[in-house]
Amino acid sequence: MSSAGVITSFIKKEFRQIMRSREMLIVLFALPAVQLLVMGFAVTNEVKNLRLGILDYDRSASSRDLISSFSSGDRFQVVPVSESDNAAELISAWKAQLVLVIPPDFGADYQMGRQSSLQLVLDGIDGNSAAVANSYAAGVIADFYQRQSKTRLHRAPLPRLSPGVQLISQMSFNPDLKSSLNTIPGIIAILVTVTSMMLSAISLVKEKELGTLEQLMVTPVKRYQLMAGKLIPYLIITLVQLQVAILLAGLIFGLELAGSYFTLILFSVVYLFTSLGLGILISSRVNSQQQAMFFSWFIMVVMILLSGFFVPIRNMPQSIQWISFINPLSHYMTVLREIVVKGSSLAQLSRELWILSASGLLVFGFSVLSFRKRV
Amino acid sequence: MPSFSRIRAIAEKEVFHILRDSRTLVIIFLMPLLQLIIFGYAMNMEIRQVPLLVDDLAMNSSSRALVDAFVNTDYFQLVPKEAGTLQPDELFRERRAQASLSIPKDFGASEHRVLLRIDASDPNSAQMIQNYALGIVNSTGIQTDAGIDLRAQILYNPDLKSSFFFVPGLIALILVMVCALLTSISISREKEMGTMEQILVSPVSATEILFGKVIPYLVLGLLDALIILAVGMLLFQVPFRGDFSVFLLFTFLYVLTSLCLGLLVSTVAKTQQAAMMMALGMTLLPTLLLSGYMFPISSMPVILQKLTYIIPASYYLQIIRGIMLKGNNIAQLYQAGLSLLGMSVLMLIVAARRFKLRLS
Repeated sequence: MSSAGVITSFIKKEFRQIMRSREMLIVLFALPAVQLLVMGFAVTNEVKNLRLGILDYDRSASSRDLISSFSSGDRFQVVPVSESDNAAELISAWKAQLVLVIPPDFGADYQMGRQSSLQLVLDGIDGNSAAVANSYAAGVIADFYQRQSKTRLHRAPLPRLSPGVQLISQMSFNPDLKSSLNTIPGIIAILVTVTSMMLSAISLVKEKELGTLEQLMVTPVKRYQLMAGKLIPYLIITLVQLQVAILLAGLIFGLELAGSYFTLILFSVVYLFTSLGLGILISSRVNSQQQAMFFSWFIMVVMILLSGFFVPIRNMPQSIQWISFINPLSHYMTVLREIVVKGSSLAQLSRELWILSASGLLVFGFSVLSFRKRV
Repeated sequence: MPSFSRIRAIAEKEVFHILRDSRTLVIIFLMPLLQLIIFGYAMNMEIRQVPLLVDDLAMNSSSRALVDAFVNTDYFQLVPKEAGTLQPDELFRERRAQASLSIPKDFGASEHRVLLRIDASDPNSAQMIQNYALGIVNSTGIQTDAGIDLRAQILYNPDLKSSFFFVPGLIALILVMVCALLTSISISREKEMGTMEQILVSPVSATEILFGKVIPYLVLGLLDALIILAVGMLLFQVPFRGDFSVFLLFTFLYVLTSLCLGLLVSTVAKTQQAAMMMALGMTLLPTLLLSGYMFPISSMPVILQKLTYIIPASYYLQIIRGIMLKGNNIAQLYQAGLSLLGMSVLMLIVAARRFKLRLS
């Protein structure tokens, strides 16, 4: 049998095995769809519907105005409070995430043009949300102040407006600041990694567990044929899954590919050498499927955390930035985001192409060699 | 009547299984610690040193003062001039700058507006950059009216440290992972290898098998949780303001729920691989994404918010954050506790029925 024939028959066998188990098909196609949906909606740093308690000791027209400017929009959700509540207790009992305290003389001070004061108490447990909530509240109050200054009874001496600088900002690529534009390409990069690495990590060890690997080894099949027969189906499946994910992202989140489709596929194939190689490396070193799963999860979690998916790599300390640099997923994620959102060209991504090619060559080559030695 | 010695025998066997697989054990203890360290040090929402391109057409003292105001903060860092020939968007694609400031020719005389173009492909960073720039611009020019004095007070975590948020979350994550994931794998392994039938024909009862299988993982999970707690408190000074016995009580409840979840998965899955995939799909991912571990529940769409009601970790997170950070007592948390109890009873009933069905 010719070498190509051997590989083809391997590929056929591998596909048959995958298609035979319904569970596997669900894992391959339904799980990514669900993941894309859930993550696409859940993974956001936007802060909405903050539970706001308002303790109004003033009960004037001004304080009611202020309250109504908080209750419009979806950022705050005003929760009912009673007269006897106190701010710290409301937060401690999880009834509110922030409490605005309006002191008795707020309206009077405000109308007379005296400086009036407000107190805001925030739950700091989720530091990010607290910081955002604080700035939202300050924004609402500033807005209220500007709107109301015109209608005040007693006009305060107008603020001395020196000819200051006015800043006009423009947002490139994402004028509505939709967070899905940033997260969806990231999720797709994670999906590609998870599928390819899991499949290849389990592949060899499964044959080992069942004892069929030894049977294969005594046949005249060459090792590269075995590897190619195993990996080509995984490569194809992952690419199909990538396709499904892109389609769904377009249908559900209205995400359009700004850049070239060809570049995206090119990078994906190059990256898959690294992720499949990592899977093979794991598979040749463990003794059971359970171990393979745990190892690949361990590596994937570290890769995902340091990929810039949750937090831009630029924000991290220098030492961790170096670790991120050797993380292939961080480069692949950058590439996907650049192509999908900004439409960057291949030339603009040449640095990533070199890095990913080098890592693919290194990891894949090493995994093939080490597999040979071990059997 | 379940016999203690038989449960012990099964449990001992399970302990051997766990200890023999030292590599998995290392991962179980190492993974949460590594995550803790990454979260503690690397998960920083503040951005610094944003590469900024300045296109100054005025070149007068006002414009220089404005540019200096930008550069003198830690937030911005000037991009070398040669790049200035490119269009901002091209520059963003090359990733040499994240923002570009254009100062018009008559700035300082007849013109007071400047244009800031920001790469918004990461909307969160873009918003932050805009806020920084507004702050800088406002402090250089306008005398703002001291009309309303807003005093903000941040409770429980005044320095807004992310470790305060993640340490309790990691405990919740690791408990559900060890208890649900490992238990379901261990039971489905026996099924796959056919050893479950062998045990079942022995005089050991089904209840005894379950107890024997579950107890070692319970201990392992609790041990792991205590290690995270200790490291979090020592390394990141995360406070523990509540009562330790209340913590133990609720943690026991949560562990119980996780174990029941693991049992349920193992009665459905036929193979180890399927059990792993299902356990991941039912425990790890929902706990990571939908429990409020990282992303606030209140920001999610309503359907997902409803979904969080059936995720045990969303209750436990409230409990553990409440106890550790807010010093909550039982009275403030009993509702969440009851929900956990209700869930575990429900899952146990379903699992037991399915288990019997399969045996008959």
